[in-house]
Amino acid sequence: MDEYPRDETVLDEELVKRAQDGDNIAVNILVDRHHAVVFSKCLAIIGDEDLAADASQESFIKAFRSLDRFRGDSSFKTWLLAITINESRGFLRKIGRLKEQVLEGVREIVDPGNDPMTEVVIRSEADRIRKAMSGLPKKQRLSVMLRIEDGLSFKEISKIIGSSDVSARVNYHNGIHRLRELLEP
Amino acid sequence: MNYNICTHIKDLLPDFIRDKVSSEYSLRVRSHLDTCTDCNDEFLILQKIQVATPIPPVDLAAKIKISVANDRRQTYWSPTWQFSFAAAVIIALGTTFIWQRTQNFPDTNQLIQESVLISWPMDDVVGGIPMFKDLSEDELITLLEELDG
Ligand SMILES: [Zn+2]
Repeated sequence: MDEYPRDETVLDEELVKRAQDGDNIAVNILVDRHHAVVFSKCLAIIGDEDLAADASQESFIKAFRSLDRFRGDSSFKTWLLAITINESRGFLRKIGRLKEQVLEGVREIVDPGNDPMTEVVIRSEADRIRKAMSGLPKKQRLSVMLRIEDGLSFKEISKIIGSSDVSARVNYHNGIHRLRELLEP
Repeated sequence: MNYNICTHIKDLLPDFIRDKVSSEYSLRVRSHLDTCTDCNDEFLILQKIQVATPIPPVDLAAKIKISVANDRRQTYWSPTWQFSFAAAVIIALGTTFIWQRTQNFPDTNQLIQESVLISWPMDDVVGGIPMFKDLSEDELITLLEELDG
C-alpha cells in the first residue's frame, strides 16, 4: 500500500493532497514529520509534559479535521503550528493557568547556586536553557522557538502569533537579549 | 562592532545554524563571527537553544496516529452523523410538504441544502486557523471561548 517513500523527497503539500483524499498513510507520515515540533510548542505554552502530549493529539485531530479548508496560503507546518498554539492556549485556559509564570522561571535561573534543590532541578545545559525559555514572556518565547527551532521567517511567525512582521522580529530579538542575560556566565 | 552589520548578521543567525544560507553568505557570516565577540556569543546561545529542543514521549506519534484515524473515521461515518443527516433531510422534506400545502412555494432543493447546513456539526470550525491570523490575543481567546460554548 505504501506507494511512496517516507523520506523527505515527498513534500508536505503532496502528502496533504493525499490526506485530503482520505489517504491515511499520508496522514501518518505528516504526524511522524511534525509531532516533535508540535509537542515542543505545546510544552512551551502549557509547561506540563502530559498535558502537552494531550494538546499535541488534539492539535493534530483539529488540523486533519479541517484539512479541507487548508488552501496552501502558508506551508502546512506553519498552518499546523498556528492550530497548535491556539489549541495550547485553549488547554491553558481550561486548566485555569493563563497567567504567565515569568517570575518563577527567572528566579530559578538568576540564582541557581544558592539552593541545592535548584541544582538538582537544573541538571544539564538543556534543562537550564529550557528553564530560561520558560521565563520569557509568551510572545518572545514563541518567536524565539519558531525562529530557531522551526526556522520560520518573521512573516510566518507574525501570522502564527497574531502580530506584525516588525513586532515578531522585535519579540524575537528581545527574547534573545533576555536569554543572553539569563544564560551568560 | 558595526551596528548595522551585526543587526543583519543576528537576523540571519537562525538560518545560518540550520544551514539554510548560501555558501557565499555562510562564509561572510563565519568571517564576521571570527571578529565579532557579540555576534559570536549570540551564535553560541542560539546553538544551545536549538539543541535544547524537548524530546517528545516515545509513544506520542503512535497515539496521535490512532486518535486521528479514529476521529477521521467517526467524523465521516459515525451513526450520529448519519442520523443527523437523515433527520435533517426528513425535517426538510416534511417542512417543504407543509409549506407547499400552505403556500405555493416549492423550492425543495434549497430547503434541503439549508437544513443540512444548519444541522452540520460545527466543532471542526475551530481548526480553521487561517481566519485567526489577524486577531489579537484577546480577540482570539474570546473567539475560542465562544466556540467552546
Ligand atoms: Zn557582530
